[in-house]
Amino acid sequence: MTISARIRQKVRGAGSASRFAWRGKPIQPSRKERRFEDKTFYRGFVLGSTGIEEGDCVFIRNSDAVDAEDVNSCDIARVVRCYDNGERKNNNRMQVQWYSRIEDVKPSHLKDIQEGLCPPDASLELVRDERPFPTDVDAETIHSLCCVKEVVCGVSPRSVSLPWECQVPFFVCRFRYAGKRPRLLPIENVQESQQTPAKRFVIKTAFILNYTACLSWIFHCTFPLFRRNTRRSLAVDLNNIETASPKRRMQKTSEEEMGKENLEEKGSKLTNKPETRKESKSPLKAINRAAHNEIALSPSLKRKASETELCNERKKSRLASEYAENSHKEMSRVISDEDATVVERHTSSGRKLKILCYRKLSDGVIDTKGNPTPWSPEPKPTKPLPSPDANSKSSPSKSRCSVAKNSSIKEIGKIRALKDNEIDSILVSDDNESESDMDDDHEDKNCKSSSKNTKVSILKDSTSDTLNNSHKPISKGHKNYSEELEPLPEMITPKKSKKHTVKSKSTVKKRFKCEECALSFSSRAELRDHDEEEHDDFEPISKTPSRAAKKKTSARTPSQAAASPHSRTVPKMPSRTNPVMQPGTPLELARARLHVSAVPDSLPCRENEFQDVYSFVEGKLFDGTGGCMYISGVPGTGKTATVREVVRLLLQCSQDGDLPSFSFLEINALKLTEPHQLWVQVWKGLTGSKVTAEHASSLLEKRFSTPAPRRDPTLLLVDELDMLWTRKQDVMYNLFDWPSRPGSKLVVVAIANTMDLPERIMKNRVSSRLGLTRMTFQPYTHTQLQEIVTSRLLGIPAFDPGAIQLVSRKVAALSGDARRALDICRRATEIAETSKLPPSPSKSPLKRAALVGMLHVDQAIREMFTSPKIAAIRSCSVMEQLILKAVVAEFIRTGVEEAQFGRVMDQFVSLCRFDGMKPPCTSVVMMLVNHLTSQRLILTEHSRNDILMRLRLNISTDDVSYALQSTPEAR
Amino acid sequence: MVSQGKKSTQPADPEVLQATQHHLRQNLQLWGTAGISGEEVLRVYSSEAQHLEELIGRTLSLGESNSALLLAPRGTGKSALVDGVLGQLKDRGVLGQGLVVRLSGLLHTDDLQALKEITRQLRLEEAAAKKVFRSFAENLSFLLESLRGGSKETAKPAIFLLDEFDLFCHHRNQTLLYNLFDAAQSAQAPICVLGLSCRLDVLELLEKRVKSRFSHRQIHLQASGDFTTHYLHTFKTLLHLPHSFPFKDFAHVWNEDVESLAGDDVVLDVLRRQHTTTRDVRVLKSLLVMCLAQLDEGNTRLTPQMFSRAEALVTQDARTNTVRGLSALQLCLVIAMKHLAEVYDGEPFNFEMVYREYCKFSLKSSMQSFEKPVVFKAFDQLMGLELVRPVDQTCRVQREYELVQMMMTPGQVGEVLSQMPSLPTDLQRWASMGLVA
Repeated sequence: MTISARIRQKVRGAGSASRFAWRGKPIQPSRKERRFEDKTFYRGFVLGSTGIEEGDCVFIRNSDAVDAEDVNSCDIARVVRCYDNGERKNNNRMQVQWYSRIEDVKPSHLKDIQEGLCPPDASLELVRDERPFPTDVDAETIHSLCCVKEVVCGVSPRSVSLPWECQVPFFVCRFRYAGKRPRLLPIENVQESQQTPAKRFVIKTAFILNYTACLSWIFHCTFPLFRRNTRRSLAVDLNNIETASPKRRMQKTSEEEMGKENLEEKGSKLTNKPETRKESKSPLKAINRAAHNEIALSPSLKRKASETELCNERKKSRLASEYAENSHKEMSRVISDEDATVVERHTSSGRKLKILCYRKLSDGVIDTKGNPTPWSPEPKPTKPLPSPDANSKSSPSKSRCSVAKNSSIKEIGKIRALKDNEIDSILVSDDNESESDMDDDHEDKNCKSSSKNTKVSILKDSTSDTLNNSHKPISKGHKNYSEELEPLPEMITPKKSKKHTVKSKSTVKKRFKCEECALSFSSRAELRDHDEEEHDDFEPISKTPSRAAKKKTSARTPSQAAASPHSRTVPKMPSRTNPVMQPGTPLELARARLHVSAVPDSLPCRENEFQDVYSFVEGKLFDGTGGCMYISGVPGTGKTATVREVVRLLLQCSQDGDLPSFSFLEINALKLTEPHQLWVQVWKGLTGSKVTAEHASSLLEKRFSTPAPRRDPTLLLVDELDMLWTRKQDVMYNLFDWPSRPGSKLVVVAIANTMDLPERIMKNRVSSRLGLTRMTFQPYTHTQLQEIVTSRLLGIPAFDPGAIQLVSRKVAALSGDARRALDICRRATEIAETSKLPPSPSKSPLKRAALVGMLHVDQAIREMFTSPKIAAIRSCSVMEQLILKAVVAEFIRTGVEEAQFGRVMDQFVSLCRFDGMKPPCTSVVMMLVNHLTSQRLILTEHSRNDILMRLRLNISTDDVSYALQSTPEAR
Repeated sequence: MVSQGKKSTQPADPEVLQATQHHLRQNLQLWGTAGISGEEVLRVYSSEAQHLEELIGRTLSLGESNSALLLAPRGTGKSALVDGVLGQLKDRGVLGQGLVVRLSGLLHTDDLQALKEITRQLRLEEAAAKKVFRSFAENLSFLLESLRGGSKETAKPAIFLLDEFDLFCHHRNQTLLYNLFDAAQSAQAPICVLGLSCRLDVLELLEKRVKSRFSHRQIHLQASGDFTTHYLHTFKTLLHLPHSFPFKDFAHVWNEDVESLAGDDVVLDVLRRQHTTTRDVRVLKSLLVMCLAQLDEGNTRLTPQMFSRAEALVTQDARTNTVRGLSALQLCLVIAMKHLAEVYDGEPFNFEMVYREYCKFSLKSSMQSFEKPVVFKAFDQLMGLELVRPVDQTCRVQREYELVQMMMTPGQVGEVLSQMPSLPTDLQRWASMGLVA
């Protein structure tokens, strides 16, 4: 433990004591872990009033959920390792093995489940999630404890009985969700885990026998390997030792019993079990009765010790004698009184360590009643434990315990400093032992040989025992409990060296073979990540009374209720009765392909942009970082289409397993009613739930500023970015600020039309966050447009290539909008279909054969782009034309392009007289002017101004003259 | 030709008269289109009708999304054309496969109302029944989700008719138009967006991205200019009594009359004048309504005189009518103002100037002269009639000195006064002679 960590621990002990505290002393890291010098490993910790140890299953708050405190939205994981990473903030970390709910598995993957297996039960089942989620989690995100039981996939999840006295939510796990393309695979290593508790039990037994006196013996004789690791040292944790074994044993007993119930084929091994238990129990009894002294040792030391011991003698009865043998070693002196034990140890350097231990008497419970005490992880047990005598004995020690513990903390460092040599010697012998353990396995089903199992199981033991021990105090007064537990020194668990890891792996395999018959044990430890750290997690399983089962089912109902909003019906247009007709003729086919909505197989002419966007997004997704990209370009240049294509490819990649999975959200700001609705839509897209804009904003703020281990990267496509402008620009600010937060994993691709939008409408602080990753989609050139149209018409001989070229050149000259080109071509097919235009004048037979020629296209272009105003003027009535003339005449008279109605009226009357017509009255002329205004040939003020109303022409005077010259009436 | 006495000797049956008027008024209503005129419009604009029919038909049968604008001046028959086309599609049995959503820019003045109306007309209320939509955002996302939920093959095609399309362009951000056009350009539920507008420059109102999503399909209806083939035909159609009319004999006689009226010089003059004035069919309709209104039990048949009278009614000048109802003192003021307008060439003046002119006149005239407050009161009433309007309303001066302008040209005043037989001779002389020296 680093000094800073120690200081922090102290500070926390004073301040946020009730929240989080490491339990026990730091434990020895594994060899691999040793290179992280800042990390200090612990066996467990206390969070609030919940004690958590390695191997426990916990709910982890999902900061992305609407209600993080809702168990149903929490993630589930098994704690593999706990450590302090030595940093100032969020320093309480843990390594976890994730589990996923069935809802989180893609429905398509659920179909992978083999025929004949029970369908997954979403309310009860989990899958072990081996997808590459970060497994390093902030320990303080734990919500509560739960219980996960792994079984072979052939077992119906419903038939798995609940662990005994399990008062936390219980789940069954049959599958693991793993692979490059995630799939549901049956868990292969179930059987191995069945052995875990048994094995652990034996080892524990062994070590308990050792603990009082064998310290020096262990250090000197059995851990030579530890000599290599001089920096890491071992700590003696009396408290942990003290609490370690008895409780665990009780649980194991229950597991065995349950296994019996569930599975018939236990065979002969089962029969051995009770004996084993008895054997192992008896020495403990002896110890407890004899001394009431409990000295804690590092769990690894204990394990090593036990292994050595097993290796050498392989007889449980020997333990007692060993204890006796070790106890007279003079390295440590044990002073015990009624409630606590003080171990004074004289180290080689002459320092004297004094370690206070508190007696743990629950062992006696088993002895006297033969009735295991259930260990319940629930902080507040609802009923008194069936071991009243044990608790009553232990409770008086509590008050003293908390006081004394602080002093023992200070000792830890010293102890550690002492023992390096000893540890090394222990490690040397370590390697040989796992194999020898095998034999024990055969002798005794309850033995588990894997040393990695041992370590975890010991940790587990201590947790459970501590909790058990403190049941009484909790029921009396809650505060007592956490206070007392928090400063407990922790043992250091030496992690396996690489060499050792390899070995134990082989051990695992061997065990599979030899223990096939024991497949059906329902308890299981989990083997995770074989290559990395060989942790076999232990899971307590106990018989559950029916009452507890009822309670659990009722607790589960909300999850089903919560799931229902996901299945809400999607609003839909009424469905049609007749089937759609399929396009038949080449022209119809061409028209269907030319429709803008038709998705082309490829996006021609945007290869470079595609590449850029793809590499940007892919890189961000790979790195798990966030980033912004701004894409600009005039409408119809394929911005959105390109990004969508990129996303389509990325999604495909992530399905193939080449990319981490990510969630994609597309939000078009013009489909929002106001900018702040963005948050609502984003939140809805992420979680499926609807909240108000302000709430969504704060939820997203929380989500993107807190790192969450299991969060998928989010790719957010924001179209029509300029519509998100607000006076405060808070929407845009947040949008671009979040990707830069650590752990947000948000990639934003923003699309708008104007290239200089960031500079024009954004404040500096916003445009700075947007960054300089920008891309501009240039308008299509005529060759590109030609290629686009041609590629869509591939294989349909409908168009004259010259006609396509004409369209492309026209559109490229006007806007470069691909939509226009497609629309013109589509219209041309219609014209070709209906009109009786003469065939193309071209001589070439190929061109003559084309259904759509130049003339059709030309007419389509004219329809779309010619101004209708000349034609509109020509179709006006005579009087209306005269009014236009009068306006032009007034303009000419005054030289100003604006005229008062009264003056125009005068001009108009004289024009009428000139033409020999009776001039209509003012009201009629006003009506005509309004009529022209409604067509926007003339622009006027409000007609309330009457004769003072000012008129302007909406077309040039030349156009008016030109239009009127050629009209028959005007002639 | 049509002598009033010839057949009106028959006792006029009030029932027949009522039925006739009722039927013809149905034809002549200004909004909406009756069957006859719809057919007429389809005949006149046959190519446009064909284009439109194909367009909508493809949406209905092929599930192809489209968008188009139907642009024409008022009273040319845009709505009639669309209704006719929809009627034809209905006859072909294609329309039943789709839904028609009619929106009007005058009724649905913002996107929220339009969205609610769309939801109602698309019969999506069933889906929405459980939800209570309070906010605009919910409405919009609901509709978009609905459209997105359907595909070309499965969803019922919807035809959106946006009357007064230009008014939709003024909605905030053009959200509705953007989304409709965007839906029409993406693989969603098939929709056909058809905008009707009289504004020729309506495309310029669209925002560039909305414009880009619009297919630029514009159908222009150009009012046919020919008098005899079109206008006269329309006239006859509007007055025609169908075969289904219950009183067959009367209908026969009536239709004959209408034919003969169409050849009458007086009627032709009236119609021609109307035609040169405007081609808006609504003006013609209101003229004919005026004619119909003159039918009574004595005159069961239309006469050319009725048309002259109706024309006079339709074309009368509002200002002239106002001036006719003025008192002598107010007329004095009007004449004074006319002189001032002439002198100052339309420049504004104030009450004091008018009052001085009036004083000059009243000194010489035999007419009763009034106190200044009385004159001011009369002037005030003229302002109330908006014959006189203040120039700048923001300026705060005493009302007597407020600058005003007359809303009639001097020529108009002279014309009106000359048509008033009851005008006192003093006033007549003053009006015609110009300024009182």
